[in-house]
Amino acid sequence: MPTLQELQARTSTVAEFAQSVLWPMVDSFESEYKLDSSQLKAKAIVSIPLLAGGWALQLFVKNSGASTNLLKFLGMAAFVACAAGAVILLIELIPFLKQVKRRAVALSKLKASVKQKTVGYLDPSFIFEASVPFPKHIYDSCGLFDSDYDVATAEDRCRGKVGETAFEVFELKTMKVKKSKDSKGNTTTTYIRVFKGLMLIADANKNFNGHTAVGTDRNEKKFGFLARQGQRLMSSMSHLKLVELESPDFESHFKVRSTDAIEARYLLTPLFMESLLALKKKSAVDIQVAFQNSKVIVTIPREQDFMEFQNGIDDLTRSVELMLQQLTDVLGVIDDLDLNNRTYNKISRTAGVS
Amino acid sequence: MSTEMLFLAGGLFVVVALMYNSLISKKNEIENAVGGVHAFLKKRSDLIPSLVATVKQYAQHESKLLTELTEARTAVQRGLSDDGAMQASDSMMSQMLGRVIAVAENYPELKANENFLSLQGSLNEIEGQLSAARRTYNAAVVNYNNAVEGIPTVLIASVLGYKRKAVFQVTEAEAQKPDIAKLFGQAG
Repeated sequence: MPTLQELQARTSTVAEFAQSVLWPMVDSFESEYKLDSSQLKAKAIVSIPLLAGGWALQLFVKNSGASTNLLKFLGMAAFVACAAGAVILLIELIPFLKQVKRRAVALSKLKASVKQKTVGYLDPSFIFEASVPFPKHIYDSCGLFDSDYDVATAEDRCRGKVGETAFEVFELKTMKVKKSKDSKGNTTTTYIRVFKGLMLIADANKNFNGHTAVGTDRNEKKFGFLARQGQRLMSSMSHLKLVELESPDFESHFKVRSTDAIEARYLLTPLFMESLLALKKKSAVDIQVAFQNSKVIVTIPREQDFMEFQNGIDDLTRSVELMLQQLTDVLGVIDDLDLNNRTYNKISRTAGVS
Repeated sequence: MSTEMLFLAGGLFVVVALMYNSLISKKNEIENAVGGVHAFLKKRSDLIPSLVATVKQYAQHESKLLTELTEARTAVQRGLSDDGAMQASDSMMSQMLGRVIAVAENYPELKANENFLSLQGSLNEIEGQLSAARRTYNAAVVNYNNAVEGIPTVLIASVLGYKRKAVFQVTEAEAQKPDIAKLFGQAG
């Protein structure tokens, strides 16, 4: 299986790949689904004057106020002109809209196909899926998200193996819906973001006895001792108990909660703490990690959409380059946290004391 | 007794009860952490007979080292009931195991033996877990010592006769990087 360095090396030759594989796909799409608006334009030259003239005549008849035979005739003529204009326009507009719809469906398939080929270019064993079910169980139980949510989506999943580590990474969005009524009784719906970003699930090759969550500590720096006391109190009421580690720097950025304090310290060695802290500083986002059921779950908040054509399909080569750069950056977390280090194995499981 | 006095006495009782419970819980945390260390020490001890048997097959000249290792194992098992003895025997056992693993470098057949490799992997893992258990013990002791020496819990602690406890220390020998050549010399 490829190493991270090999994957990074592949990204440097992506332009040739785009030229030889992806651009022909786009060209074939363009020739098959090119929008033909010539007929619509030709009919519009006739129908628009008819519609406009008929509408203007209707206005004139309405505003004149009188009711002579001539005006009645003009009113009838205006109606006929409008109807004729509308019919002529609709005869061409309906097939054109069908064309637009077919193109949109085909474009979405093309994008998914380009993404699959791009991910496969990085490594043939990598798989891309545009739509994925929201991993409710993992999200709810990982211990990294405290807030409730009403709407949740997951999409754009890549999975494969880097070195010995099986992984999957996808985009997650969770929101809370707030409905409010104004004085006139109108209801306004507001979507409040809970989380938007990536979830990386990597096989740890270790069966965890307990469950450990390393979340962001937003209060310790601000409130110090009081924040710690609050955390102790809160954790005493939860199945995840606060684990206080030796590194003050780490403690000021993260709060560690676990069902097994010894296992938490076994996983969070001084080296791991250092790596996670460095990763957080490097990425400048609130990265969080959970260890659960032999999986390491990493959440990375992110504004930018994952695996999207940032420069559009017109600048395909650049879009694909950025896409792969994003993916290898995320997979870099596996190296940064040394998850490829197969020191222990699932068979010789002995960690944790109940 | 006036109502104010009753409230004051009640409040005082609640505060004392909270401090007492907090001390008890900290003491119990240490006992729980000691239990964790014991469990891993026992797990490591249980591997020693297999390790000795495997090494013996390929390295008959190391019988002195293997006898010392067996003695260290007995010392660990005896010392489990005493915190000080436990720390000393744990440290000695760690050093002995380091020597045995280093000695294996002299015996290519032993080094390649599957059973030995599997034991080595298990020992490595247990060492990591022991280290975590010691850190957990130390965190519990620091928490307890802070309460025993801090105001106002010191008042309750002195009434209960609670004394400061020692944390696991890394001995000078453990802190030093192993001198493989020296270890080989000792073993031979």
